Amino acid sequence: MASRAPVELDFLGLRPAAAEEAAADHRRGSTGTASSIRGMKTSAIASIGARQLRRVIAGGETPAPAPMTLFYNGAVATFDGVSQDKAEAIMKMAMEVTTSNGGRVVRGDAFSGNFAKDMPLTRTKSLQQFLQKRKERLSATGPYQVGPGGTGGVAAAATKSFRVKEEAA
Amino acid sequence: MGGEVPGPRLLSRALSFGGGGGVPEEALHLVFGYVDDPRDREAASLVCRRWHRIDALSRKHVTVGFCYAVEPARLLARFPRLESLALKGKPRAAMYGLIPEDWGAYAAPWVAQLAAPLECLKAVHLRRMTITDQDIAVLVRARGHMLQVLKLDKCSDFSTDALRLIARSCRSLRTLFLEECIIDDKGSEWLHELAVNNSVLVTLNFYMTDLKVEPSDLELLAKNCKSLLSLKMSDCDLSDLIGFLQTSKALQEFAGGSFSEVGEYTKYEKVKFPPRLCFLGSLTFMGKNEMPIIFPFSATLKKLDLQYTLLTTEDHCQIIAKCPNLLVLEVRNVIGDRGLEVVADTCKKLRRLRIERGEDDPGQEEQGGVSQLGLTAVAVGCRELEYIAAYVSDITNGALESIGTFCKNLYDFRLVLLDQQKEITDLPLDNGVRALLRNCTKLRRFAFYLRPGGLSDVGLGYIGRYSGNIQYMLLGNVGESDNGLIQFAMGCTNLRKLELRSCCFSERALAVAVLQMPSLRYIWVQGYRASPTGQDLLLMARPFWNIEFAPPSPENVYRMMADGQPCVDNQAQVLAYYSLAGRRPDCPQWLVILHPA
Repeated sequence: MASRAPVELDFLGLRPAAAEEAAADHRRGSTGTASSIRGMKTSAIASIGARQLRRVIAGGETPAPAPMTLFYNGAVATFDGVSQDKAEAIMKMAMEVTTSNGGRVVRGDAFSGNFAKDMPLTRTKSLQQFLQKRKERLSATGPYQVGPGGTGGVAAAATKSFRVKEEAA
Repeated sequence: MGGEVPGPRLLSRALSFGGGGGVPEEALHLVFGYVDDPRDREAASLVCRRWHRIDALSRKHVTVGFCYAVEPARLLARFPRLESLALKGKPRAAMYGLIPEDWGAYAAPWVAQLAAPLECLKAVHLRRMTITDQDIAVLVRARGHMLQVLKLDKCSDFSTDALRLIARSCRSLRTLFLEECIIDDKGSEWLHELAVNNSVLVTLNFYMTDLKVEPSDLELLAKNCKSLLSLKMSDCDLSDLIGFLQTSKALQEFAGGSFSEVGEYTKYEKVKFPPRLCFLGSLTFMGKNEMPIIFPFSATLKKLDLQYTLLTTEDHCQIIAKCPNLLVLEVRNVIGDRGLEVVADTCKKLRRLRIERGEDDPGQEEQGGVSQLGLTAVAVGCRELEYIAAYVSDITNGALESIGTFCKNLYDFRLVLLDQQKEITDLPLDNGVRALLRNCTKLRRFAFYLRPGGLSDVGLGYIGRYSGNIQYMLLGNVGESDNGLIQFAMGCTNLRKLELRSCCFSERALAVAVLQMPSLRYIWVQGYRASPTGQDLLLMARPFWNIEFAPPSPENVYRMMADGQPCVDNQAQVLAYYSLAGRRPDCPQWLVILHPA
């Protein structure tokens, strides 16, 4: 799963605050979804020549299924058929060229072309309120109620639905 | 041929001039009295100074589509005899939690400058604005004696104290509308005072508010206001409303009230709705067991709202089958394709259909989800449809084509493609949307919210080319590149208001696109290739065009909404609009005004 996970590099350090958080997470040892490929640290701020990149990529190897998307200097470039080795080579090159105090891996930034992921469909507040009330109501009367109509029940049901979500993911 | 731009209106001016042969002033006034449509009025006022003056003096109602587009003083100067005023404030995105509470749209300057001088003013409607108890006090002091309609629609920042003042002072009030307002609840006396002081109330709406009221006060209101036709209220157990429902004999519309105990039908057996009831809003938490409460009068129902009920797909099928006279139906997508087929078979007179987005977690609702199957069925079965809004899980070009073929009266069409299902049957929707737009020539409002790949640049170009008389559009995740946006813009000659979300366009392209749309007076964008400063937006700088930019920032994520919920998104936002009022004087510090500088 890790090799298929998209890696997003903040070349321009646009998200220092979120980056702090991501770094803190990393230090705590939690498994972020996109912080490494084969354990190799992939955080870097780089100035890479686009031609260099294309050269590496056009090296001609058996294409791997995963596309690579790069956000750089206001432009988005997508490359199909980037093999694992190529991807690592590119990222290694980026890290070597880096001069700044080390970028961070962040999830999503203002340049992302994949807005559908970064901009979830929002609900109207009225509907959200209703669905929330319904959740509370169902958990208060549900079979997992712990103690009289209370917080225990809510917690139990909430945990249950969280687990269900994880299995479904 | 459909979807093309109509020719310019031709007005003959001959009659209004000339010495002895001219039309007398009084006659013109009389004629103008029959001209209601704001666009007709707009056209008439441009004919000559005399017509401009007569229009100005005889215009009864004005809607200010965006409160920062004009100053109150200017409105007063032009329309001194205004009877009814509607003002809209925050962008629509506020309804989705995307606009921080301190954004603006304050009613204060309007109330301060207009309440007293507008001596004929008797109807006020504010939508998505911030209004305080103090502001309401100013309004009531000046106009309370003749105020007939007060609508505060999704407004915030006031309390029940203001409602008490209104109740005591506005004895001519026919309509008090507070739907979805955020009101500080300091007690339910306001309703008691309303019941005691008013005898002409026709419409009372505090639906989707958290106000707690006493059922006895409602009964008193029903007793004193014999002409009460509509009550939409906050949650209150229906069994407590038995008295009210018995007393309010003329009632035609009811919404709100809830079932606090699931499955306890015996408690609600005595609930009998008034005989003339034909508009039924959501009875919150109504389930399968409580449904029979509606059966006795389901055949007379013209409007039914099931959005806040606990009904399953099967329940929807059962209840809708009993409502052949529905004009308006609002549901969540739990209705499913099966439910929509029942709608298609039963509700032949249906004019408005709204299918909202239910719970995403499939465990909560069985067979939820609406697709091209249901939509096509409804298009074929309900030919009178004027308004369709649907959150769908799947879609095809064919379904859109069907809507275009059969729903000739469509005035407002909104489609949102949910993101749960990985594979959509038939994308992109280029051909479908073209067919729909070409054939639905009466379309004025259009929303199309998809996913990447949902609409190509060609398809986006179609939307522009066949936009016809559409005045408002919301587009999300459409197009593939800046080219698509430019093609779109070049086609939209009549588009006045545009909202774009989650698109791939560059800042530069946005600015260029705006310049291509001659009728555009308001644009809101969130989710695009923003720069930290929004500088490329200055490409669209021009006189009277305000450009406001909320930079992308993680800090925005901590901004609170009025109801204590955090702002959902922290992407850059752009708001640009024509304004005669110059720079906004009341900007929050996080908002950057790019133009005027």
